[in-house]
Amino acid sequence: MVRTGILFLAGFSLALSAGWWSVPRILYREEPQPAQFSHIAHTGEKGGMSCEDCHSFRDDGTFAGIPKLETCAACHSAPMGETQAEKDFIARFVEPGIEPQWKSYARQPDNAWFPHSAHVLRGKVACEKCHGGMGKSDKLPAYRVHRFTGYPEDVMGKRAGPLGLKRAGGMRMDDCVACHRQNRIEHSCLDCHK
Amino acid sequence: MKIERRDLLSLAAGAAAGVAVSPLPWRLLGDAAIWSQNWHWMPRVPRGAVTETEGRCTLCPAACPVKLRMTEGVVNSVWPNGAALCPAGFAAHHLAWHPLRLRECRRGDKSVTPEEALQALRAAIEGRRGAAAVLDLAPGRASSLLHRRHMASIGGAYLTPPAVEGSTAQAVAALLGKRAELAADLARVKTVLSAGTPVLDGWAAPSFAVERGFHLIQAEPHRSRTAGLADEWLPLKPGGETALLLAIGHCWLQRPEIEERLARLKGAEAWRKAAEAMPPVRAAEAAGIEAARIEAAAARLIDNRPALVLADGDPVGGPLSREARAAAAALNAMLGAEGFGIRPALPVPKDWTLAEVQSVEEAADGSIGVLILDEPWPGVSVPWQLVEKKLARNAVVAAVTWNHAQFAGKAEWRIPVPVWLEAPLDAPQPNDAPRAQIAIAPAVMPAPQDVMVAAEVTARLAGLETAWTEELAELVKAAGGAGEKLAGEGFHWQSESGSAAAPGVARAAPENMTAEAWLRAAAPAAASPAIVAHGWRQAAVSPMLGKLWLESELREGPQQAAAHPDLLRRQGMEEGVLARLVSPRGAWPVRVRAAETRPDVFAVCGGPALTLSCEVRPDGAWTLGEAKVVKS
Amino acid sequence: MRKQGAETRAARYAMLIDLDRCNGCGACMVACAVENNVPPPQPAATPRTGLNWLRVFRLNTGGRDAFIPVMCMQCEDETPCQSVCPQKAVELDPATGIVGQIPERCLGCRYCMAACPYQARVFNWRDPQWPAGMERALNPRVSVRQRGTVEKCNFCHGRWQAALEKAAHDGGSGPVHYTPACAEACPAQAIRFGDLNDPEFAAACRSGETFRLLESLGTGPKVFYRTSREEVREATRGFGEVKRG
Repeated sequence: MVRTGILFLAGFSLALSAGWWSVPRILYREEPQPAQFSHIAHTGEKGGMSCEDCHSFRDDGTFAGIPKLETCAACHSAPMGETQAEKDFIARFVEPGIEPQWKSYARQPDNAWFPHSAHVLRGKVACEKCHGGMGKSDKLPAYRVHRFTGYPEDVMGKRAGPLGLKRAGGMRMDDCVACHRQNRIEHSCLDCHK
Repeated sequence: MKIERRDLLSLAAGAAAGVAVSPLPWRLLGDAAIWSQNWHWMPRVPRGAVTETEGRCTLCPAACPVKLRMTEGVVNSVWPNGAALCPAGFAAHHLAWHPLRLRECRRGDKSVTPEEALQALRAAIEGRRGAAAVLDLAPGRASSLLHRRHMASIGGAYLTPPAVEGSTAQAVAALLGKRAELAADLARVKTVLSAGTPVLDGWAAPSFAVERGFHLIQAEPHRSRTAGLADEWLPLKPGGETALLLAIGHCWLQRPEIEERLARLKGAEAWRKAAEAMPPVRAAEAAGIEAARIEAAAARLIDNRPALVLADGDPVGGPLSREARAAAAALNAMLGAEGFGIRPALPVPKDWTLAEVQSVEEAADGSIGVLILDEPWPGVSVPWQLVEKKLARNAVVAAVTWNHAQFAGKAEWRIPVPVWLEAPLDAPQPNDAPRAQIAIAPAVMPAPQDVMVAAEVTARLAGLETAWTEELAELVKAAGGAGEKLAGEGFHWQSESGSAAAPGVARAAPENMTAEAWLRAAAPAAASPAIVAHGWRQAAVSPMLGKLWLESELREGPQQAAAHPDLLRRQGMEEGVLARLVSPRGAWPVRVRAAETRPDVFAVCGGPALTLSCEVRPDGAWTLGEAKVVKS
Repeated sequence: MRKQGAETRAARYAMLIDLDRCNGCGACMVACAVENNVPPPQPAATPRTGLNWLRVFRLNTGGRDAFIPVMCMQCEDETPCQSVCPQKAVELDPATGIVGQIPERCLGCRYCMAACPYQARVFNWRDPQWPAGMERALNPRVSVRQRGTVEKCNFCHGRWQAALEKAAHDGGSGPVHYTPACAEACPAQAIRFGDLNDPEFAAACRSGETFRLLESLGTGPKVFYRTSREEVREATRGFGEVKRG
């Protein structure tokens, strides 16, 4: 009896800890970004840039997202600093004119419509509220993508997720709805879905 | 310590309970749901900036102005830009991805480079294999002028298919006192009698289908889209065009203005004799239309001028017989050809020498040793039997074409071409207005490798050093434009309208036309039920257009045969059943549908492939021979 | 859920289609499919299994042909499809009047297709397929639907969203003005799109010559038709018996 109980508890605690440890850790695999990039070097004292200088709105109101090579090349046609990362970037991308295939941490699926203009310009939501401390980071964080949905970790959620205790903390529909409810912005399906 | 089964079970039960209280299964369930909404074979929409630029659709003579919406260098939609646009225009950007598109240069089954093809063609031309010729399936473009220039420099021939669209204008032009190119002037006329010409369905600019200033009488066996939208449909028996047109002439005789004109025209006697012998009561039998309706149509035409009589035939079914075209031309001649205007010539650089335009029918049999077929876009075709006759034994044939299904199958060498939006391609001259135009579309998308425009092929064979786009730019400069921005922006020029120039009709009938020939043609022996082939040329532009005839019943589409319900009943066929069109020239599956059409006619809707299989009758019309629609 | 805040005022988007102008060319059908990423027909497609958010029918008037384009009527009273959906995949948005069809929620029971008296809904019998490479020409504003889901006209919500995005960028307020694909495409300009809260448009929709399909059902359709030809109006009375396919 006791042995049964002990074994039960052993199995229970093993599985419990394995479950809590593995989720969401093993669900994601890491993929490298094409180059290293330091946000703080651009936004800090030396750089003095703001988010909008590279992540801007187009005339039709759409958000341009991650800047294209021509934005970088406008300043970095020749090395502006001392780092090896910059030299590598210029050699691999700026000179041959190849567009770097950046992996977007906040890439929503095709069926979601997130208008930056409504949130940033009209709603005055700060970039940091959703994108955290990215603007002050020294290196690009690891890009982790879910092994079988293909969504990035920032969207799927870094935390374990649904057990009713806490949301996954990503950029899923529940997270958007929670913020909308908190700010009493009502919404309907076509407001966010394409 | 013996490990018993109970121990394992306890461990497993504990593990199950533990996993159940961990997030693992619940998270996996949720993630699996998302996984099931992201199958890898589902396309992802493109991302990036959406931009808009302007251009022209050059897939037909209408050359409608369009707006092009693009994402990251790929056009994703086409929208009208100040003028009407036909349904095909909205899917025209799909050409680049058309499932039938030819992408590789081939010789037989082997993949070759365009250079090899050019070398072989050059060698064939030099090796005394007979005359070289280019058969331009879309004549009247600015690029056609380039062909003519290239052929002139190597002593080759520039051939066009027998005219279908514009064949009436050609027949009337043959009656003029001087050489001129004519075109119908739809903007000016008040009454139009059309014997089977699809005036409101791809023949004229789409704007005429929307709003027209003329009363349209459509005479044809099938209640086509044009007939349904016309002011009047005369359900003509197949082959009854000549009888109808002569009968209308009969009604006009004795009218002072007609007699006066006839007195001044050469060849009037032949026509008068034929018209006098064809009163409406006699024509009623051959034409299948009551005499009263023929008389009413005749009166309508002569009393509501300017009037126009069109007998252009149908792009898939082909031209009408020579006699029918001459009868229509005669009627127009009676009216002083007031429904036509003289089309000004395209401006040509002074130092260019151009080969004459020759219809492939006029070429001598067996005289072509090297044939270059220019099939630039969907919907153009010609009966292959006609072309084959003109080829010498062991002739070398190269098809410079957009698709691998049609002329590519008849040629040894197949060279792929850039399609609309990948190169500055241009449109032919309009059918419905007497003006010249140069309408060049911009090149906004990259073309695949190995493509060559046919004008470039003939340029290289002619040994020209300049790129074909530079030649085109010279033409554009001659028209007063700047040639440099051709690729990026396209170009549009049109001449003054030639409406003001009176055509100056000199004859009522062509020289070799006799009244007997006309009267013979007016009494055709038509099988019953007769098979009438017709089609909408632009149907081939994109598979998306199938929404109009496969996924709805809005219009007829290729491989459909329409018949009156009574005829279907007599034939024992039900609506929607799959049948076969059988003829000496081939057999095709067709889906049968009921329509309000003549009860002795199967109206078979086809595409260019059907045309390819036709043969040309001695009287110039195209036919499948003795054809029948039978149950499968 | 009515929207709050000064930035938005509710709209009641509607369409007024002039049947005297429509000549049945089908340009609207093709433009709609291109705009909304509807796949081209398979070779074995039939009118019953096909995907047409907007369909033009020929009316038998006994004389000159007349045509009628039919799409989702965006019913505002007792919206039949919304009331039967077990998944809440259909929602009449009070802020725009658009009855939104949400494929993410749809489980494909097709109850809504049976409920719709206008037969305006279509079903994805298979995963969409485009000729190789044509996916690069898809409209980025509209997502692609999987098999097993129902879809229908949403008054070009992709264009509405684009207009909202631009309005937020430019700093405007109030309901946005935009033109759906069919209205932009029509060569005869037979399709007019507007807001019933705009008095001029509302008056045009209620003129003596206008009518709606199956009015007696009380669904409150927001697609109005206009014709001066009595035989055309007569011909539409048989709409309920129109068979698909």
